[in-house]
Amino acid sequence: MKEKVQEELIYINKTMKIPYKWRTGEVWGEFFRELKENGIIYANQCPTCGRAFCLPKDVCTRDHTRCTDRSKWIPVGPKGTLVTYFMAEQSFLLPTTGEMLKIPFAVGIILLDGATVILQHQLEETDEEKIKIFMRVEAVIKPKAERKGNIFDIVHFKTITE
Amino acid sequence: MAGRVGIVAASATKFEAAKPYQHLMDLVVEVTDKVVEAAGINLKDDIEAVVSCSQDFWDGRTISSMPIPDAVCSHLKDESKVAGDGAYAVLYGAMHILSGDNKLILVVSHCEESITDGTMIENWSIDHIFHRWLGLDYTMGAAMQARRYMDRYKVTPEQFAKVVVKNRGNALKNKLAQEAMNLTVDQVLKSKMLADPITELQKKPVSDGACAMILASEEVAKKLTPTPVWITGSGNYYEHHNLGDRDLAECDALIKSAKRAYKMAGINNPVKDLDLVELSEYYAHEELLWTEGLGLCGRGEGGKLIDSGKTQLKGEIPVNPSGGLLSGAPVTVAGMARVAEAVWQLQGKAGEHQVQGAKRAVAHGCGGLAGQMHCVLVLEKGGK
Repeated sequence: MKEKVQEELIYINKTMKIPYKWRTGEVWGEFFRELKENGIIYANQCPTCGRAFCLPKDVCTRDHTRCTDRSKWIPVGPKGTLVTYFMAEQSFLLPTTGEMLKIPFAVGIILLDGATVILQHQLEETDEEKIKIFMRVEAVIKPKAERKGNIFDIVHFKTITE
Repeated sequence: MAGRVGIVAASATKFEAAKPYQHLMDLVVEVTDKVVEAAGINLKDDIEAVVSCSQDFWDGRTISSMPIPDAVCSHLKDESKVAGDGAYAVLYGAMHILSGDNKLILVVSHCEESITDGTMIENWSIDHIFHRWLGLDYTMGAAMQARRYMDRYKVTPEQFAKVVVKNRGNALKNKLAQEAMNLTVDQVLKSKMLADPITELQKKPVSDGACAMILASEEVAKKLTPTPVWITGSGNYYEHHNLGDRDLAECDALIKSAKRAYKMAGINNPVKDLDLVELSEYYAHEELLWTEGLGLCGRGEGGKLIDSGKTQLKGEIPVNPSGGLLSGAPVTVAGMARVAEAVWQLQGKAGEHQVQGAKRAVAHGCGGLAGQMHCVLVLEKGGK
């Protein structure tokens, strides 16, 4: 008996878009305002446990204390240490930009000097041979005129030697 | 039910057309802090599990519950989500307690409808092969239901408009309400036509907000509060999604849900046995249809019921004393806000719209195109 060949019949191919206007709230809004206006990366501190969050948090994830007290904010970085990373070798259509990602690229988890909690961002370095765990990196901030108050006001993290 | 589940406390934000200064998790933190304070417990140490309620498309991220543990301090705890109406989150929370696994849990729902285009989100919920392409949203589904209901049972747009006058009028007494208005039937009918017979004032407004609740086992609830509200009955059933597979003038899923919940709670005559009803009317005509489904009147008598004045705040069986959904509350939060309002009524904390001496209430949640799914909860104070 012949096997029936499974074929794709008619399919419906459509890309659909939905607009969003996500709010940043008091804490993330202030983080982005400082980054945009002054080019400074801030961490906010928990008044109870003292941890310094970068990216900042509305409430401490350990003790649920509100971390909105602006006087407790501290500038962190722009230098930091690479904790771990991934190297992307395959591209995909990034929904937030509608463009294919340029490969290869690396995203690192970075502990900024002065912060307790890590930040994720792209690395300038794309040669995996040259990326080492615990290497020192520094945030490259966009010129003021180009800053928009989003995560790419930090272009990426470049490797530094100290 | 196998045991009693107590609602210890409930909280909600004020409902607003937009909350530009708060992101989604800000809302969750706000209602969580309020409810924890009202319950007199410690969030981190006392809460054993969290049930959240939100929808990915509304929030604009898959797994919309992902940031919840940060907001409610529930890392390394039991957390799961209901991606539907908030009344279901309360029901699912009650199941947590009834399972015996947890004795004290947090239930929280959130949504900011204003961050996106609700019409598009509604359209996306409709089957993607056939009907999505036709340009359906929930208002158009509701218009078909209203028209079929008018045709089958001879209810009128004037009767729909009376629901709007009542509910947005009741909202004048409710501090959390978004749209409190003194209206006339004529004003409602003459507001902007959306999809005949539904005018703008007959539709729930775009709304942002959140709601939270603490649920506990009987023993724990009694320790925490002198006024626990017990969930004594529940029922939930689904209609067909495809509108062509059901008669839109009927609400069989709601009838079944109510019957089941009433049987569980020992309710024989809902008008006499209940002190108030908080139901989910996304559109004005739904309140009439749902009052039929809940057995507050006979089939086809929803119009007569609103005419009779029985469902007014001071009537025999007040329906939506809070102002209901027509006065504002976002999807997903909607049904849970109905439960919260019923809880405050039974705790005597409703404020200016308090129904005096309320002992037993029904809270109703629904969702989907033209009321596809219904959840009925019977809530009581005291007893046993």
